[in-house]
Amino acid sequence: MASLRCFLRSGKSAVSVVLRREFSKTSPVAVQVNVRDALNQAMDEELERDERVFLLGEEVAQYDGAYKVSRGLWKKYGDKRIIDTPITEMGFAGIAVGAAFAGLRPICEFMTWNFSMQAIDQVINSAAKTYYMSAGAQPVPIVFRGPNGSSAGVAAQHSQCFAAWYGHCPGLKVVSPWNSEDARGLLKASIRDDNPVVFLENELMYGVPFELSEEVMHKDFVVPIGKAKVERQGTHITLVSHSRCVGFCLDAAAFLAKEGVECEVVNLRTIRPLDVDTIEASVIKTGHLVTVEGGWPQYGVGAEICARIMEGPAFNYLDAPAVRVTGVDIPMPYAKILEDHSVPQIKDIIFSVKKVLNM
Amino acid sequence: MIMRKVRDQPRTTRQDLVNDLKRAGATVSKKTISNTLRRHGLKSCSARKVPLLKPAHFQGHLKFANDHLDDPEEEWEKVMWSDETEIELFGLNSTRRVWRKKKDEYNPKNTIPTVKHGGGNIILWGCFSAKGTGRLHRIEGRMDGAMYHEILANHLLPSVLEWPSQSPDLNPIENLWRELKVCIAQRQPRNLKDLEKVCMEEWAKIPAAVCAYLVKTYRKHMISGAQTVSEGARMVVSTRSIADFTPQASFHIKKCELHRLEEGPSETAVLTREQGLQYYRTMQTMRRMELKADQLYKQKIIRGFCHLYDGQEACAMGIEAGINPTDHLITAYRAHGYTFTRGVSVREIMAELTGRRGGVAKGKGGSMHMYAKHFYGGNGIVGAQVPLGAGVALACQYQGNNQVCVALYGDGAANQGQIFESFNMAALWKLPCIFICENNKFGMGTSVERSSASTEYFKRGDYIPGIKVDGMDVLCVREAIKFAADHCRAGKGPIVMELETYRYHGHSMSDPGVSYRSREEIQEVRSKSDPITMLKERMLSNNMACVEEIKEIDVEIRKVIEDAAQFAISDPEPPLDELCNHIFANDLPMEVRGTNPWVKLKSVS
Repeated sequence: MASLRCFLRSGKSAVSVVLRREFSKTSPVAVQVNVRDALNQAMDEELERDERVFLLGEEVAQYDGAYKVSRGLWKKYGDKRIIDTPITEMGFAGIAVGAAFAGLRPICEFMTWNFSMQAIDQVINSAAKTYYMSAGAQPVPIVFRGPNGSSAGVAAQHSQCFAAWYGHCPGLKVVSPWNSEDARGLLKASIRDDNPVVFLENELMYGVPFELSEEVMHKDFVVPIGKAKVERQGTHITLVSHSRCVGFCLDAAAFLAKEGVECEVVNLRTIRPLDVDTIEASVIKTGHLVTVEGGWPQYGVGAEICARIMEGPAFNYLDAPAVRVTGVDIPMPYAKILEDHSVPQIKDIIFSVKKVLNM
Repeated sequence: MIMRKVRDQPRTTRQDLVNDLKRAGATVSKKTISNTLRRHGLKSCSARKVPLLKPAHFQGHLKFANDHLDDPEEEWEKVMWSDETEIELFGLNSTRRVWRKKKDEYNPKNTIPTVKHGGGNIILWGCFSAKGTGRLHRIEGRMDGAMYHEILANHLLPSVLEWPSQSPDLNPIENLWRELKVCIAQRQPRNLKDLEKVCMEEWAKIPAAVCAYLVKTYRKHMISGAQTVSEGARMVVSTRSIADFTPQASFHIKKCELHRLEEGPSETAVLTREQGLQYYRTMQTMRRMELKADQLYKQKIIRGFCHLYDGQEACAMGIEAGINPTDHLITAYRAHGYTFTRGVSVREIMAELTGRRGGVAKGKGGSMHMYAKHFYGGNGIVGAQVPLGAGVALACQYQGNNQVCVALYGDGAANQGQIFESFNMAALWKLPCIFICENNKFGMGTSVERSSASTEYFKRGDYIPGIKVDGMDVLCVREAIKFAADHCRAGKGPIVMELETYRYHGHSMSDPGVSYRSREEIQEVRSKSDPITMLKERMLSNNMACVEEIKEIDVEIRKVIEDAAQFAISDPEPPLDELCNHIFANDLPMEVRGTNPWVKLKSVS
């Protein structure tokens, strides 16, 4: 365990070691960018690129953003394009969708996705379904973004993961970035997409730095929506995850590697449309599957992945039933010890892998 | 067959009809003809004798009526009416009726002796005003110009009204002549001198009250006279040109109650003939379209939700008349009317209702989800359309295009929180948004009194100025929306309007609409405040259109609706391979899971 904790702390330097090997091949200038700054830069670049893009939400302008994701943008672009709203989610989400109807490209921030429940009707009934209901007459180019899932000590009403809820609905694209490259590329792709996108960030990832290559830092760098990424090659078992849990999976994989188990880690990047092909190809290769998510188990992302694997060709390659690692099926408690035991930890992933591999 | 014949030629005799039917192979008696016609409401009546009128006469009559229609009563009281008449000694001066038994016609008691040429006659000239009868003067020989001037001079007439010729229907003195003649017949004068004496006596006896009454009701007679003239001119219509109609008229409209406004919309509205006809056509089309939808729904050709708009046409028409096509509009689910005014054809609307591929949303949206340029539906979630509308207004402001957005909602939606959220942001940011509450007094089955602590919907915007408008008067609505649009375009921020209106149908086709309101109430609105009738009457009474023209428009509309309904019924349903299309815009084709894992469907943008 101690070695594990040690590894975690050095996690980021381990990552940069991996990347440094690549640098000698490509041209220099790689930068350390944390997820917050990656999001900020992505928005800045897209605001500059397209006049129709604007940001609205609570505290996004003069406060520089509740989590400082929009720092400096109001100063640069002014009142017209960075708009502070009153605390009226249903109203301003509806206004954002209406603006998208009429030709603008709004970014609507929810301070956390928990508050989106106040506005969920606008997201689903006004945004997601309109292109279909109008038989293609009315597109809705809007991005809803904000931090999703558990944070630290914010308790039950502020800790829910909405990936499954929004991932359920046709007409929406739902993305869930893990690192800075994901955050940057997916946000740019989302803003440029002509469809409603639910962009699920993670507050605990905002401060985590990653090294970004020059290619990633290019103004037109986008990560395609609907494509998962294999973050780590492996042969014995497939770990599928999204958002912060991808990091845990990589940590678990590093640990398990010392025991001779090579895990393939798939970063979903997009919840909907789900990249089943990448998952299937990996499962066909490894024969074993564990899904990892922060949300509740029932009717969740993992449940969907397992169902798809059952229904598809990969089933015949499974050597053991697919299994899910999830948050505990309770509202999030406050006390640290309770909270720590309500979310999946690296040890839970390692345990599940060993169980599936019958170790 | 006989109905048609008598309709086209009312003077057809029964014998003619018997002969026609004989030729067609049916043998009937004249009595049968009478009975049949009677059953259809036609009685054999004596034809009224009217002066022979030429087109020029019609023109003159109508011009006179139109010129003086708005004259106040006091003016008419100052008028001296005069005319000449011929009174026969033994003439047809009164109805000659007797009480007798069946075979007793020729009993001397039951007969009236007639004399050739009525036994002689006298010519009288008389005048009267609202104050009572004036002089009666016997004319020897024939009246000529000089004699007339002399008479007029003697009676010191201050002015003479320009009078259309051959217009006994326009001169109330004719009524007095009739009165006089009836009285004279009862006196049974023995010779012409006696006749003259009797005339003078009876004339003087006519009470002033009768004269006053005639003047008072003159205006009504003038209007109906003008209408009769125009109705009776069926055969002459083809010679009428547009030059016969009044090109435009100015109407006083109801003053709007205001909230936080010093001045409100104009209290007069100018309506041109073209506008009037256009509004009529549009409103009547909406009306007939909704009634046809009702029919199709009852035949189960339309299914699901169907919220009909009949009764509220003046709202949609008035709004469209007061904004530009480049302005924006969004409403709730009672949307067929607005879909039409915003430019979608009746065909495409009806085919959407029946769920066919030719529908405006290719059959994928249905009643509540029809879209057009600058028209954002059709929205099924009560109140959700209001923030959307405010968002469209934000886009207008952002783009600096001087356009406005009209966001409509009903009295039922008026208490939604998101509406107040929209009010707040629209006022804060001065969005060019016109929030309109169509108050038809019921949110589904709940009256406004039972749903709202405050039913003054035009004041519910609180810090936002408001206007209360008569939503049954298309001109009222038009002037109000013009005012509101100007307000928004001037950068003054949003404005709230309440349109008082009424729906004849229930909330939807599954609601008969009479469990929470009485049939009497519905009928009363229909007879007293129908928006289409109101417009039609305005047009007709101001000679801006004639009944024939209106009827022609109705016939055309009927055809348009029939054609649309035919199309809506016969157009095929959308093809199954398009089931999954239009999920995402501008995307590569993708696969969509069907109802089971083996069904893989294709979706294109």
